[in-house]
Amino acid sequence: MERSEAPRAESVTAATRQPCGPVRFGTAHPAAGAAPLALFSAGLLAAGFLATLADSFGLGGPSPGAAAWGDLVRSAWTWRSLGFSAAVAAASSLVSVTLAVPLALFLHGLPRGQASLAGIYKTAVVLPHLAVGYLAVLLFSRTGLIGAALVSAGLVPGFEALPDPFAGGGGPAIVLAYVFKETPYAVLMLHASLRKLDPRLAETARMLGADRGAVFRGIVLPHLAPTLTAVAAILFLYTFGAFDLPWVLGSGDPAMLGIEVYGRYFLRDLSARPRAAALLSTAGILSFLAAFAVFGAGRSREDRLAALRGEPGASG
Amino acid sequence: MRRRGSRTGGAEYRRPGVRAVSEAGTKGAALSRAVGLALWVLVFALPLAVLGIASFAGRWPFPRVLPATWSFRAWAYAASSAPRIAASLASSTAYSLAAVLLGAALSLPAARSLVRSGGARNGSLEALLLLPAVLPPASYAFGLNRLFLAAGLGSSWPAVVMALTFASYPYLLRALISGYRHTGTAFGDCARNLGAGPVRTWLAVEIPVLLPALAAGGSVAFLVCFSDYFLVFLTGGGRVDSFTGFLAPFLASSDRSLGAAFSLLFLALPLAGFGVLEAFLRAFHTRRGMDS
Repeated sequence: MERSEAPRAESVTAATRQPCGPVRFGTAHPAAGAAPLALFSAGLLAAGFLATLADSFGLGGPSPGAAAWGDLVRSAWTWRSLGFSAAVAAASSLVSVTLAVPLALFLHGLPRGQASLAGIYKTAVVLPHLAVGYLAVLLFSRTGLIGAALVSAGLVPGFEALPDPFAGGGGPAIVLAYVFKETPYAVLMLHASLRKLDPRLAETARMLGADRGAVFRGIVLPHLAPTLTAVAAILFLYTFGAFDLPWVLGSGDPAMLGIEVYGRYFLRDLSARPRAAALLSTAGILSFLAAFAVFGAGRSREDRLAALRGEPGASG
Repeated sequence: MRRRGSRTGGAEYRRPGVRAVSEAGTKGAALSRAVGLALWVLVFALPLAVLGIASFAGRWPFPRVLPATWSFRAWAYAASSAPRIAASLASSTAYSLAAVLLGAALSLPAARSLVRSGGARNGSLEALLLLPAVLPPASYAFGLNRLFLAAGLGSSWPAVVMALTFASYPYLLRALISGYRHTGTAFGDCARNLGAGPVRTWLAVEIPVLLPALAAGGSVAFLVCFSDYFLVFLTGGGRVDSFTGFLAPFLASSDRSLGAAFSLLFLALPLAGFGVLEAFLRAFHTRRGMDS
């Protein structure tokens, strides 16, 4: 970037006075550097959303109109798919964060050497969703390893007596797989938050006579609350519209949102596409509003935003 | 700030305080920790052990907990498929690296600006920029694909790179924001005030200082791209090779050994890559006399 002499002279003066202070020349608005990324991100998101919305009104097709939106509201499959996706997402995110709290506390209490060994939990974060789905089949199917162990130990007479986690849309299997994949992520975030908790708070409370339960309820849980909210929201939103695991583990009826939309978009004739696009637009708006409500507004926004950044809570 | 207290004062204070009020440090607590750790390792290592056992399984009739016979068949097949594996790995690595580089080029100035301008009013902008990390991929992927098709980019490498950049840049951005908060923006300001141009400032000062944050965010972003199946499948239209695309039919088949062997291979490669990256960073910082 070329600079004129006058601002350069001013900058040299500024550098002499305060060499690492604010740059005194050629300054744009402080937030200008974010513009290319904002344009890229908002541009793709908005254009992608508008393209889906146009599809939902059948624009460019043989019979444009708003019929798909009416069908969407009246169709049972819409509510079945949305309800099933929400139930799977809620169950997997709640179970993951609930399991992650004691696990993160245990990890936090380990001495440094043992904590390094315990770092093996992070391998599940690296495994791709497809491989996690495959593991779920190996472990949890009725003829899988857990079923085999139960039958060979004589605890159940045969695999027919075992519950089938892949029945009824595969909901239990999908939840189990997401819990395996998401719990280590939640542990990672909660452990980072716990490292920011001043140990003197708990120690003083114990000296004042508080038992472990009271310390947990009064100090640890309130400290973790913003991170817990953020992690639960991240996991819920991600799972709500996921494709990979439902594709490997789902049985199709009811189908999760991503699978339902994919089927109607690509595996049926063009007349099914507007309804799929209307469902997708609805899910997109709901997800966007929910995500923005959690991370873009509210009193503890900075704490939840810190969790979204991958940092421990600001209040820590 | 509390950070100071918890990092230094808290750690120093901890020992007498904890010993005064809890049983930590007693033999019983140490034993229960050791048992807990053993259970922990068992629970988290078990799935990997299952994959390892399944990859060497020959005949494995139900309800046997371990295979009846052992075999190298899956690994021999993997060795014989080396050219196909190498091609899909090369493609996955190339589009993932391209997405990480594009994401870094966009995120570096954005992170600097967000930290530099600070303040609560930028929280909404930051939240908006980080949103792709939490939006369900299906909610934007079909629209993006329509957009790429309309722009003549359907089923192409650039479409895959753009879609993956969109999905993965928040991981880079958040690491760089944390990095800038840690190191401050003064190094760059100092270089500019000393007369360095913007390109030289980025290459000689900002990027080396932020290398740990770039490596951390870049690793996660790379992993997101490398592990992705859906976005590559949708925007690449089957014409862009990927390791997940190669893996998918084996995972869907009834041959457990092949799926297990390829899953382990998939896990080993990014872990090896991260090891190499960490060694490179350590060597780089040692050579330049910087704290890593």
